[in-house]
Amino acid sequence: MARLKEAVKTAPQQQQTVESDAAVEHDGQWVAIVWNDPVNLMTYVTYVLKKLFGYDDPTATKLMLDVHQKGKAVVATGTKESMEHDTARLHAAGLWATFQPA
Amino acid sequence: MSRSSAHFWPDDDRLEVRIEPFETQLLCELIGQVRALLMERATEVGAGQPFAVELDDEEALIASLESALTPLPPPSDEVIARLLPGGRMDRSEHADASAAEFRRLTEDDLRRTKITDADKALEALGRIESEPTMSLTEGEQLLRAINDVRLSLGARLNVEEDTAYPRKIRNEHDQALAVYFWTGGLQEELVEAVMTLDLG
Repeated sequence: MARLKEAVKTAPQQQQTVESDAAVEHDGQWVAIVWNDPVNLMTYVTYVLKKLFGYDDPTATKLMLDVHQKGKAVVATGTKESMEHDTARLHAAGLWATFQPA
Repeated sequence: MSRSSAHFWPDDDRLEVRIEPFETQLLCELIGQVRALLMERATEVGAGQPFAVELDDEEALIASLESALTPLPPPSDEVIARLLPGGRMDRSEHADASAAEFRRLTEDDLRRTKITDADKALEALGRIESEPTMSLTEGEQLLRAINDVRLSLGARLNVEEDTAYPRKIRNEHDQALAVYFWTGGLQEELVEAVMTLDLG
């Protein structure tokens, strides 16, 4: 992803196209959300949250239980770009995740 | 869990593996199927070619720019849609454009990461009979590869929260469901072993 962005920067006339739509969206706080799905194991979800975000066991377990019982949990907050990044990392681990304005 | 029934357990800084050859074979087949689906998707969206690595290779750079600027259609296949999910579900004004941008910028990396996980898992499983041990990194790659197998089976078999283990195997669906639950058991053991090794 980093390489791609770097390459795009070298073509300023095309950069506008890249940023035109989504960049104007909400510049405040954003969140990354993990959604419940029937496949991912509870232990695996807990492990991924600990591994990716460095959460301790009680925090990761609480978030996992929120996902399981309430259907979703906010697992991170920050800028839009960092929430996109976290969503991509969660996808790489196989969790069902999205980002949105807080 | 007693060591006698376990497939994976931590030993010093590595994972010990005890898995029957028919189990290894089945697991490799399933991981291979996921890999093939991901490769198909790569072909479908025209991402078969690697991006330009050298920035002075102008032709390759332009080609990679063009492909980077083309929106990727969301996957129509349910399995691929679960393996390579969208980034937005909210209904904000710009959510659709943002989702398209997210897919355009991240799907390629995600697909490659998953294919690499599958390749590395297959490699490790390939030598398990002669060398029944794995590094933590290999264990993590196998863990994600098994998870992708389970996501794929789950999507294909419409697994839901209350889907139960089939009491009788009457058809291919029941058989696949039994395999799905078997992969769940394996993953549960593997995640415990990896967690003990990695996070204490």
